[in-house]
Amino acid sequence: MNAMGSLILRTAARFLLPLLLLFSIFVLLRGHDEPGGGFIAGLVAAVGFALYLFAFDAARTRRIMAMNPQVMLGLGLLAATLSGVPSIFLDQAFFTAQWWPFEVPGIGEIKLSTPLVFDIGVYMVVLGSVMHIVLALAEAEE
Amino acid sequence: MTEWVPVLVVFVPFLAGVVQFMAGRRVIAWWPVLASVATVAVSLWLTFAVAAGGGIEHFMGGWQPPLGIALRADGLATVMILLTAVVGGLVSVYALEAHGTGDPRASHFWALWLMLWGSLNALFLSADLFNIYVTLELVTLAAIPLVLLAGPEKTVTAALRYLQFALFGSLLYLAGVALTYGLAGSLDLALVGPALTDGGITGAVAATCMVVGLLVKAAVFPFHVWLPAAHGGAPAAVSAILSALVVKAAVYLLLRLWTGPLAGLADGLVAQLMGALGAAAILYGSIQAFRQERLKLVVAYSTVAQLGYMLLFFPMAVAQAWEGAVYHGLSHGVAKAALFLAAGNVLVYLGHDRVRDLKGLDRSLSVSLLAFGIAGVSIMGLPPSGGFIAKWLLLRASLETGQWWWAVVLISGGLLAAAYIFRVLRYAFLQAPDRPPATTGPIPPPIMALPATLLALLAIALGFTAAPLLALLGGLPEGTG
Repeated sequence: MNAMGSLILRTAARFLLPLLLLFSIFVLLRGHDEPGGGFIAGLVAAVGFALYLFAFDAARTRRIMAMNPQVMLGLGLLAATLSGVPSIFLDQAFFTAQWWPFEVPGIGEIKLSTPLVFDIGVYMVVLGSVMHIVLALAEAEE
Repeated sequence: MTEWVPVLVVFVPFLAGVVQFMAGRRVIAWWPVLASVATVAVSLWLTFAVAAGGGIEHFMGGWQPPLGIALRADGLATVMILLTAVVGGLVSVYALEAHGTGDPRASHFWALWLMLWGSLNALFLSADLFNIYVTLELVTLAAIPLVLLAGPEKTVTAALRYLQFALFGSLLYLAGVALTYGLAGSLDLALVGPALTDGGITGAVAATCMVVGLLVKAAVFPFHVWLPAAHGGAPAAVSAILSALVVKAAVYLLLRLWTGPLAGLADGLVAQLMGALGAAAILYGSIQAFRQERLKLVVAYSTVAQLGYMLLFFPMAVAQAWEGAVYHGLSHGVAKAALFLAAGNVLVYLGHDRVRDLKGLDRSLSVSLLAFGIAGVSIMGLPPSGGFIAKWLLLRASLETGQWWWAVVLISGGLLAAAYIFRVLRYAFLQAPDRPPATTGPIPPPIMALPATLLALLAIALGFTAAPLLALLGGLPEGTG
């Protein structure tokens, strides 16, 4: 994979990965009322890891991801589905959004919610499935 | 409490599949049992709730249509969910042995099958066009890897062709949905009807795209070419699921759309054309089934033929044709699952399924061959069986509407079915073997033979339980015909 052996690409990938991950979390949290959300944020994070994969190799990318993409995919599906469950106990329709806003001194109001859990689930599904495909292709080529 | 049941019917098998996917082989000994029992239980709960109190609606997230997504359990959806629970439950019993601890890919089978089960239930309950598209794709994407479980070298060509046809079908369907949305501004089945009827050429194109897309998915002649290799090559449990439930889901959607949003567009000529496709499928599929040399291909071509009967509803479109078509779907579902499981047992025992070399199996495989014979009775439409009731209703509908030519097709289809079933039975029972059959596997244990027999007996039992099931189904939806 590092046939080019480009120092510029490697250095850039090292810097860009944390930036892209930070940006993906920003996009994830910004979602719901404004453009953003789990799907696009997951793609942004996947771009970061894919860039790292092009600069280095599949083994190092797996190590830096820390979690097996397949497991991440499954956990994401589980989280997204379970986010619909709390509303059942409040005698509302399945997937009815639940909001728990609270004040944090110095920052302002923070809204925790089941749509956020759903979005995090989508984020993990997208990141997990894209990286599962890309890593499988890269390993087949190596 | 009953308003939750549609949600449970979708998400219990789906979540169970996700857990199986993540836990892998560690839970293979007990999780599939628990998941199947839970799915069958919630499906039966839904059936009894609908039978007792009428249809159930659930709006996801509390949003009403046209904004939200509705799950709607009416009579038609409920009988299909009941069929899925019965066939799925018994195939799961078979699969506990066939894809149990001894199978290295068991975890893949169960994860995919449980998700397929949830997707099928979601498809039957979906009340809007786009949700139907999503569930159709889920069903296809879960079904194709299941075909590959037979071993990539055997079925990869068949699975790829299945994938191409299925994607072509769903893209056509999606194009129709997009046009409908442009016309109606809504996707709810109950709301788009008037806009499609008044939509002129756009409405007609949208309806044509959706119907042709579903015809491809349902493997209706002449789009059947992907079916025999895929259904004949898959593992037995998968073949049973695909033939009994997955292709039927697409025919179910045809029935649902035709009697719902497309009712105002249904033209006499188009209806006759649909009936002609069904008739061609019956005759062509039966003749091909008679000519096949492999047992599983006989059964697969029989599916092509049997799906044609359900299409005979469209030209007749009276209450008896409606009941006959749906009842044919039910009885064909259980009988075809029995045939495929029995054929799978032959394959396990002999290592091949060449029809000419079935001689001398009547001792060692008596239970499985019994199941094959009994299920064959329903496929032929002999009384007393579910297949007979369905064909009788269709026959009466054809005479009632004065369209005698469909009666000719029905009777010749039954005769051809008898020909290909008796051909198999003749080799299996009547011809003495020259030498003891060369076997490669053990005699399938009762846990693999009995589900096939039970399904076959259910196909016969459907001949006696028509009244409560047809009451649950309810009459022909209004505004059709």
